[in-house]
Amino acid sequence: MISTAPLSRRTLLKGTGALLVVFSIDGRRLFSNSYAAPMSTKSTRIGAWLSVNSDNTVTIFTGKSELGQGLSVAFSQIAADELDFPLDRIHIVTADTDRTPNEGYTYGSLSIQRSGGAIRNAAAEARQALRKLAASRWNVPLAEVSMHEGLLLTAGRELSYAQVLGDQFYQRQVTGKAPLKPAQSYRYVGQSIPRQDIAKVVFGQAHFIQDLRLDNMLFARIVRPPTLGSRLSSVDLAPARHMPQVVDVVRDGCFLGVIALREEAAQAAADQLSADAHWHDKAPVSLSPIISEAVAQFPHKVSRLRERTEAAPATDRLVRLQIERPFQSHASIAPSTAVALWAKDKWAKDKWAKDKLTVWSHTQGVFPLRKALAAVLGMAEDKIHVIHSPSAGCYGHNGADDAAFDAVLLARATPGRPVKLQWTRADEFQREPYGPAMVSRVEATLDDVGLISSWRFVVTGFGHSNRPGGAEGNLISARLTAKPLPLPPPLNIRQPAGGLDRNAMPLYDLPRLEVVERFIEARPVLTSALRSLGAYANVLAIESVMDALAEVAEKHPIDFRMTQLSDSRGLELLAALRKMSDEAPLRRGDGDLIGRGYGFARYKNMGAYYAALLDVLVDPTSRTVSVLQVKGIVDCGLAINPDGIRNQIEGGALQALSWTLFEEATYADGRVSAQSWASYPILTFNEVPLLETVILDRPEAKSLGVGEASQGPVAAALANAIAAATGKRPHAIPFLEGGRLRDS
Amino acid sequence: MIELRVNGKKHEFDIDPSTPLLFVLRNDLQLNGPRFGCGLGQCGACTVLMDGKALRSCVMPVQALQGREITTLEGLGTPAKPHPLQQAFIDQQAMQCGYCSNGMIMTAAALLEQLPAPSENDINTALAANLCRCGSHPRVVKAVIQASKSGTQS
Repeated sequence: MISTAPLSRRTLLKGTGALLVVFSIDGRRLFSNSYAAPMSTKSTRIGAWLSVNSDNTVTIFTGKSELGQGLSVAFSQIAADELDFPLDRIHIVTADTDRTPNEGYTYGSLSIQRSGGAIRNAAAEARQALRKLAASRWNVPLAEVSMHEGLLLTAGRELSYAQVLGDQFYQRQVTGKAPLKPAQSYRYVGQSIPRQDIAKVVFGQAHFIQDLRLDNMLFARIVRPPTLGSRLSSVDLAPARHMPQVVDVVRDGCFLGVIALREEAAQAAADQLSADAHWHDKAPVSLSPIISEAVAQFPHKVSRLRERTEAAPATDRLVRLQIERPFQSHASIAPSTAVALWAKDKWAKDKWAKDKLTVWSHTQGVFPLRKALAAVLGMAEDKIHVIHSPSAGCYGHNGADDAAFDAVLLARATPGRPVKLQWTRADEFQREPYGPAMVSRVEATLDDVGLISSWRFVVTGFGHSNRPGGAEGNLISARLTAKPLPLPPPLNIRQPAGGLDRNAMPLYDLPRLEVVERFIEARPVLTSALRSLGAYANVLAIESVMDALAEVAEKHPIDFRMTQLSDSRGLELLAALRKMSDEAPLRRGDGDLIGRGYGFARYKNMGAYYAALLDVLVDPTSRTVSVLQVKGIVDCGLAINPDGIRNQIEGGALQALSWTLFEEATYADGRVSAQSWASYPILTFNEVPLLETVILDRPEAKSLGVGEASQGPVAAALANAIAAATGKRPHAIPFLEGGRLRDS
Repeated sequence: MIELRVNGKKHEFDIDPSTPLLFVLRNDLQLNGPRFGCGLGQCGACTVLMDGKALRSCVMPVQALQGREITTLEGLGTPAKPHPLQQAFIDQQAMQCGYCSNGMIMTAAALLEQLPAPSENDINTALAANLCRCGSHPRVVKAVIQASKSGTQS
């Protein structure tokens, strides 16, 4: 994040030249499915995508956040190509409610498609505007003006963009009509341009929210309720308050926290306060660790996504499978952190104007968080400034928003002084919303020529999306304060994107298709979005059954899939995987339990395609599992940054292996089992296989995000490889217990 | 008074001797290298070098470090004179979110001091207790191998 002066009309009218490209008043219509909020005509803030600056730099404003997925460099590449401007003079400003467009959340693998698309259009608009200015200045036809690396050119003459702007301020709206450059002309898009933030990190330069050091900043810790349903019976604030370096101890209903001059003092005071707090829980929640039992305890709302009119043929061969997916943690390497500052708004004309609140957060959505904070605090949104500052990868909705609100509550005690709140590792595991438990069940029949004759898919589980934007009761501490908000009902994300039912609809063409979602509206434990949402377990279920059916049909698993698919990009991908597999056959030694499995999906049936093969070795005596290699192919349309794509695909593959082999959290007596890395182990260097990713570049097709494309297929390839190696198909996640393969 | 030698400079602090080294490095010396991941010594994000050996600063009281030479990521190398590991992490783009990278680089630096030409197995073993959630493990290994081939600074 490079800071430039806030782009308000005030600043710009000071006289520095610039060209600002803003989203149109009717931004919604321009980019289908765009989140770009319509500009308010009363606002003094300009909703800009792009600014061509008088110092020969370009600033891109995106409402999306850099989560470690390499967004900034990808956007720079898109802008540099479309605008004919040097990459190293492009700055990206991300997710800031005062400075960037409102693009909702950075989720769903949609940033390249939506924000990238908007930036491309804005850059094209700027290019056309600059050419017209130059043509007019030189009095030549537009066709005689070309552009190259920040220069406008015509026969014998050249001007930099800054020169053509002079000290004038221009504003253009994105019309969507400015001509876009063809893919063949790209110089940056399609290249693995290195990220700029990596050098910052390796040299210890300030980059993360944890590196924020503001004047007079204080340190804080919360004291969390010991169980999900705990209420505070009594607390003695005095001992903690009198400890050295403590500035204040905050209590608001059941919300407790401490603020201190030094971080270790805050921790010590929090430990003391925790000892002096007494809680009671009327009905501590316990759920069966057997997921099919856990989900069966609760009523569910049935949605029939596809109904069939004909019953499955009674004589055809039947294959049945049920995948059970437990609660799983985001398990971010950094515990959630936020900085909040309540201060007088120095711009306010009215000296009795309400305080301005500034919040630094690693939230996935600065605008929705602002909306939630405004609602719960009873403040106008324009009095709250939320700035995204990166933390460790969040992989979905973890504790970031909750930590932000915790910081806000604490900072009220010290107006004018910023408060940095960091959750402990135990807070993070105990307090974050988990990836929800779910059961995906398939019943499929095979006819006598080895084709699928019916398919019934039923997915049952808890909600996958409980973000605070528009539902501020989802902020944990909003339910703890003296005027607590009720717990909102869970959000059920509908098709086509889906939540629990994401990828429940098969991409294959299947007759007598029935797909049912059974959504649990109860919220005994806190759940929300974890990378790929329901797609992980649903694809695992579908792809496990496809392999099982292929075995019954006595066909090669890839060939079998291809007989059931008409999607041309999918077919091409599978054919390429078949070739990849044939060229590197599995080597089997005597007595080796070794197997190869395959997995394939199109994320959300709208996103990137990915298919993989996975080789696994199972030790017959110890039943330990070694994943030897994962080789995959991705089709994400036009590839913006191949290295970034590989990072996301392979990183996602390793995360899925970790989930599938090791990870589960259980609930007993109101507590989740995970407290530290000892009670929630994840994949380590010793378990990493050989990884290879081929990118099937399609320059003519829309760019698609890849952050969530590999999880389901890799989990499936693992299950199928284990089945091939051992003859038994694993179906309960995690596949290992105590480091050994479970008995099926 | 607690006296610490950090990145070649001597510092004195009037603080509780049980204060974790990590907090002193980050909050008193404003260093960004060592990071808080767990405060339990389990993830390695806080790793620094003490007399050339990898140390998890989140669980070390400053008292235990009197008179020892502490090196953080900032002391390992600079943009003007990068340590081979730092250069290798850039060349291999060996991170996604980057939060674990300090731990990876510092632990690898200690490894290369002991074992200048490690195998992949050696690297995996040395880093087995350094957690990465983004899945950058293969690139980290490649970066360590690259650094080992380009020679380490003493």
